[in-house]
Amino acid sequence: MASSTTGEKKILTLKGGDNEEFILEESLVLQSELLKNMVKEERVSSIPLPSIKSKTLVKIIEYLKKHAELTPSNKEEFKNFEKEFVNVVLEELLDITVAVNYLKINGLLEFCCQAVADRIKDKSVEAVRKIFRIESDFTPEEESEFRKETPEAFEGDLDDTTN
Amino acid sequence: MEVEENPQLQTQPESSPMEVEQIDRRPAALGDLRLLPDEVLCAILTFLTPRDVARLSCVSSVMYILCNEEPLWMSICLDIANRQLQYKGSWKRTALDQLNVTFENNESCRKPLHFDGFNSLFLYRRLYRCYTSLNGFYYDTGNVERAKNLSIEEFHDKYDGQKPVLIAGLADTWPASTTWTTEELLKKYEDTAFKLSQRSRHKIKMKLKDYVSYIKLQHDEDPLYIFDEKFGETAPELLKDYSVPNIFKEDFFDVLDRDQRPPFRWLIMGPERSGASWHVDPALTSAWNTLLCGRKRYIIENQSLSFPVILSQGLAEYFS
Repeated sequence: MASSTTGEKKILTLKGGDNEEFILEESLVLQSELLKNMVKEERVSSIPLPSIKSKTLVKIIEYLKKHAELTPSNKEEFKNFEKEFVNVVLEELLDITVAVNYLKINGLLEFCCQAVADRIKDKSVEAVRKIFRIESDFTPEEESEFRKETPEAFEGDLDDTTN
Repeated sequence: MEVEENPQLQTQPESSPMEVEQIDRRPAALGDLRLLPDEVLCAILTFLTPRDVARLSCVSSVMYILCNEEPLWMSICLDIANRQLQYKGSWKRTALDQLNVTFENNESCRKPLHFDGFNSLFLYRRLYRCYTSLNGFYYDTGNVERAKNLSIEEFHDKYDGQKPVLIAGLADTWPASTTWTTEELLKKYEDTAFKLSQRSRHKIKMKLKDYVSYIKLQHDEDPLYIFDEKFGETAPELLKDYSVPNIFKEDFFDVLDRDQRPPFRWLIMGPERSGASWHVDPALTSAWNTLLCGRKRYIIENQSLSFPVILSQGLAEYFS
């Protein structure tokens, strides 16, 4: 029997930067403080998010779905999902982080910050520069000064790889 | 105030000789990370170890600036602190002290380098908040009832669980009304260690003299404050300085055995800008609160009014 589902589950449309539309349950987006306020106060049914690439939005919606299904029994599975979630090229991780910050999804933002920090952890100065394409704007004198100032920071095993 | 200029009316030459071309260090010195807002960048750094931060500061000028921010070192320090805290004039120094890095042969705390060509509204606003004095904020709109010589019956009928009230005069006879000032407390308890507001994994304690020195030196946005539920055990003499007012004598915790009694009394001390954020007291308990020195501002959400009531508390007034 065909029947409408009015009043059962509210549906919301998100529009990504390239005008691609994503239709999802309203309850899912309530995890975003920004969208929650838009939905509750302005009663909109379609929200344009021109600054977020569709590819990024797909990832975030995937996270929201998984997070909504989180129960004590599938905690491990969710942790693995989270690990894979941030196991992407740097550009993508930064896009996600910027979007999550904009959407105010607090738990996920913290997780993204941790993921970016993990790419800095134990890396040598040169490796950090390569990974994030940073140009040093120090004079050679300044640079050798720094190394003398905090020698302990340069001791031990440092990771020179850029992956 | 804004000024808008009509470009056609500009009489200034295109490039005046005084103008030096300002470089913007941001794109090169942050690389791909320039995509992130400064508040997110700063949040990321709080997930690093002190060693990582020290190395990152050598990556570029902007990284050097971000890695030398005091709020970052405050967060690092509270994270690693595992013994009594002694503030060393800055959070970076304090953190290095906790890590047993000696200053004599370590120059990392000398005058920091300055770089032009970088600005950040986020860092500026944060710094501004750290140096904000609250003197200009004092106001008392008189929107809370005041009472004196309140009987238990009157208190229960009119106020208890119904509306806020400021009760004057109850602490006038307490020794604490004159002895609980920074100077007087220091005389007796300078070496007593008190617990600080919970902000890290470990409960951090500070000797009173170290805490008072911290208060004077610090410029934190949200300074640490003493919040000690064991002051009666560590400094029993303090308990003689006050008594529970008659109208608050009833104590439901009395039905519990002594060793099962949850925390029920606190000594609180803090500089301006310190305080608790929006919260509901644990287990929805009621508390009475006496201010002996300085001033304290409450913001109370009144469910029936659906807007918060703001009240300032003057010296030695009760609030229920």
